[in-house]
Amino acid sequence: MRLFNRIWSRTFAYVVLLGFTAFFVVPVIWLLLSPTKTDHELVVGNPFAIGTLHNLSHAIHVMFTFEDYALLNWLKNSAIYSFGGIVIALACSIPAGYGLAHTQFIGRRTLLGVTLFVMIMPATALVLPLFLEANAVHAVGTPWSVILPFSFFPFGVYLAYIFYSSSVPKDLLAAARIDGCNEWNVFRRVALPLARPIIALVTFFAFVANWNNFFLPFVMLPNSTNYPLPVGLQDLLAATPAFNPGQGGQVPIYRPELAIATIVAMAPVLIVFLFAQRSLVSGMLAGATKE
Amino acid sequence: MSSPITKKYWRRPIRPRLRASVIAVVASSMAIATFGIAGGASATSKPKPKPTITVWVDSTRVPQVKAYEKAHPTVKISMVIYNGNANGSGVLQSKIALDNRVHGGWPDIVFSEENNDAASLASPQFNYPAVLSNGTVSKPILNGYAAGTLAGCTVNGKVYCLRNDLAQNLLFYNSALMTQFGYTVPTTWQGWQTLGEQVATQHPGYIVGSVGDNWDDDIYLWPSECHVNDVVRTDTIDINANDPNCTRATQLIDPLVKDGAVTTDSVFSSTFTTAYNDKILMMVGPAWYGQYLFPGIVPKGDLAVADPLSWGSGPTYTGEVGGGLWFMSSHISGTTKSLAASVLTWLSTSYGSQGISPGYPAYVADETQWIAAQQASGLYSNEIAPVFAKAATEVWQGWSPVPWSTDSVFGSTVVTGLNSGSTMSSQLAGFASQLADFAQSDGYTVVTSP
Amino acid sequence: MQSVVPKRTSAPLGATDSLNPKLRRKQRNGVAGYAFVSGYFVLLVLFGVLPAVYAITLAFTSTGGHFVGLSNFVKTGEDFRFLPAFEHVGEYLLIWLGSLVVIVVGLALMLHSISRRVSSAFRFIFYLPGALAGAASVLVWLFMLDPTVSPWREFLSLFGFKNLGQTILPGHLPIIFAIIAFWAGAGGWIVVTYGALNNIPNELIEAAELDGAGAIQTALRVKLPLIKKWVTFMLILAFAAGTQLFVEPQLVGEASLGLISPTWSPNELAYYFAFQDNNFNYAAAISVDLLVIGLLCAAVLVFRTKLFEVE
Repeated sequence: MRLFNRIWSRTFAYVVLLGFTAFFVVPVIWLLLSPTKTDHELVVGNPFAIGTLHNLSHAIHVMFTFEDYALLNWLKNSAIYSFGGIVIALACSIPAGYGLAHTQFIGRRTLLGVTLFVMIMPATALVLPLFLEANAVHAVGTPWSVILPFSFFPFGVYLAYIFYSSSVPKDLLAAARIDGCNEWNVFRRVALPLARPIIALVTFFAFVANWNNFFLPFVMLPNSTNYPLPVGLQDLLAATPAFNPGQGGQVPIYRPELAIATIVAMAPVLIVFLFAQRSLVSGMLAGATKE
Repeated sequence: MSSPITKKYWRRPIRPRLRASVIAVVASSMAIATFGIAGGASATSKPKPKPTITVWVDSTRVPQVKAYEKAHPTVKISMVIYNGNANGSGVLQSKIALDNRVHGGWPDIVFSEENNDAASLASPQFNYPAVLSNGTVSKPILNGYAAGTLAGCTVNGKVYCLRNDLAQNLLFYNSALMTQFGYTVPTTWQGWQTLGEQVATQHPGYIVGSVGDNWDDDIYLWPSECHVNDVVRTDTIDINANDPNCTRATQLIDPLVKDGAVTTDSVFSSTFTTAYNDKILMMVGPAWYGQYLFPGIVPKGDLAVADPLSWGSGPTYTGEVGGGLWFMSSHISGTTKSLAASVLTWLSTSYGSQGISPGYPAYVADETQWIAAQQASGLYSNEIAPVFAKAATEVWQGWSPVPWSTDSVFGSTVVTGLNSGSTMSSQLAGFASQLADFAQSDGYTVVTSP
Repeated sequence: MQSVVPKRTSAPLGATDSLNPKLRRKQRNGVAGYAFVSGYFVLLVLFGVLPAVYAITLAFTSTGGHFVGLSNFVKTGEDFRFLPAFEHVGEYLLIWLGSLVVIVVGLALMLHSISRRVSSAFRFIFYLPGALAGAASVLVWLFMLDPTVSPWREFLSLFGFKNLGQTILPGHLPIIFAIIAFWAGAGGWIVVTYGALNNIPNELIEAAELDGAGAIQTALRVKLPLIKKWVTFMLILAFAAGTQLFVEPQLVGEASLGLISPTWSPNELAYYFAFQDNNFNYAAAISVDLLVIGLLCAAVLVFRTKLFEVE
């Protein structure tokens, strides 16, 4: 009876898990297949049929040449904003994490507490206030209006802080001091080289957050030549007949082309996901696992 | 201070993995950067001997801009496709508001599908369009529009935009089907309804109209002289959900929706073309439906147009759906301004542009030629010129341009209500009360006509 | 998902520094400490504190710059679009948080009961759609919800949906956004919950099994109570993020042929006030409403759950 119960519950678990696997995976597969088909085939054909290379190259050609290579331009903007933000975020958060973990100064605990607060608060809540601020200093419309807010990444500081306080022993730093290093050199020669895994982790999380950010650039950048990909995608959606047949067939952006744009938008994150999968999962768990 | 678990985690052999991830990130970034810059270079940074004119249009207007470029190869046009401010999205206002903050980036010329836009864009809040009636556009051109055509473009006596097309509603019908079924074309709304009921029983599946789009208030309520959008004097608007002129229209339509003779599908939904292929017996709609919606659904040569339906007594009125406005920026001057003005004029008035527009040209000189071309296209089975011309003069003037989108409110109240199985009559009160909310938040006093 | 790494350690934030001599000696590197945090501090002030302060100032003043007390809050609160916007988001949160508790925890418990290697494959697959957060995930789901092309068209037709307009009727949006949020975000939470389950000492589970508890009983009676605080953690973060809906209604609205109000969510309403009505004070008032919700969530997490214990 017990054995039966166990088998039954195990089977049930697998059925449910496989059901959810379909839920999570089917959209991705469909998306990857859809540019190989024509819009008509998408409607009448089997959703999982594989189309032709010719269709794929046609969709790519149409999508990329749209508005003078707007998609590539958006891709470039996304890259500049994301990595610009990451570079400054790293340059500030790694030393800050180190400073919080291994130096003493008045206000340290307060700074730590504030960091926790702003880290938990959804970044979106600050978008309109940031716009109002940028507007007051006439920075709206410039790439900096996006890059600088991106570079404020308290989560990176928190990660660096945990890393330094938990896995860089104070004795090691003390030894360096005895060897005659000043505080800066202790950081540069000892602490910074140890931080490589954390740099990768911060880079990843900042990359995903920046790359997918919609609201901030949507508000800050009025000019379509400055759009990053997510805002460009919304423009494509609104201005083309793919989902708005009323927009007419004068612009040949249909569902296969829109799918191409979506794939381009997600590909960088997906690639990083696939590569960094394990460290990510561990990163998300940090202290929670007992492996 | 340090937990053994976290310590263990950081020392776990994830480093090689992480290194791989760093490489991946860097590699993809480099790929993106080099790729992107290569792509970007071709898009921008070319020497500009002449000013570039930035034109924002919806995708429907793209061929008109391309035609301009073809006819004027020396003029550099930078075309940006946006949603045309359609469906009350307010995208244009938001962008202009942002550009105003930045003090730059305004489009030199912009097309809007929203007929109310002159009032809002010319207001001090947005202050975008240039005045065209002070010589920027020549008098002969302005006089080339029929009386009243530029009313929506005129704010405090100044003309701020040029109209693309007239969008007067007509009765379209399939003449072949009408003959085949032995019906006569109705001239009144009541006659239309009676026929609709007949169709529902005798030829189920065929439709005599649609009420699935957010502009259907312009198609059914506007011609019925329904007072929900009537600015009676400055800052006072008449909104009356119980106006018999409104209820007579909704009561007419509800039974037809119930028995399927009027569909609640959007005419631009992806399934409309296949679902109603050769199933449209009649449809009241704007002039541009003829060229823009029906080809491919109504067989070529079967389409016919008739005068707008009347309510039996009193003068016959009709409504209009869109029509589109061309604006020019007030933030340009000198050669850019004169060049932009010539581009604007060409797009709105030349036959090279209007001849390929799906709408009935607002500029009178283009009308005859456009109608002749439509007639020659073989789409229609009857003579259309007099019908189009007459209807253009019958648009009821009690439906005023206002700073909010009446259509958008109609869409989010009545159309969604219909889609959820409710009736048009029961949604009318909600429609009117939301219009009143918008009016009040925009500083209007709402009155209810007796 | 919100990427936050909580850490399990001992003393909660707010406990006094143990001022042992060693630490005190270290006070001398105070200047260096300031130098290390200076860059971050500047960013924190410029892009964390200042915008919040500026928004608060605007929220309490009129367009002319006069102090008006709570008037902006009252006026926006009375606006006819205010309550519906918060109701929409409330409805969405109810569904989204409910699915997190039931489905995410359920899936994590199931994953925990099967072999580790198989479960790691599942976890990766569940986590994968997280790459398509934001605009991309909404676009993907517009395809999924469009009965004409969806791989689930038969399923959609069960509900009588014939075209996209019918699927994305305004009344369906809360559940649709919950599905999108679940698709892109649940995987991350499953991973976190699974990690928390892994932290339960084996002895406890074995003891339960010796007592004759079946797999399901063990899961519900032993495992579930032990991961309660993780579930709380997940709910608060998801709640805070969920109140901020913007890109989802914005994009779905674009595809709805104008049937969805452009002020569907509170953030959209704030955006509308700022850019359509040119009223930054109203926009700021709604931003402050949302900021306060975010801050309250953070406060509960930091002070109540003892998850973020920093030294």
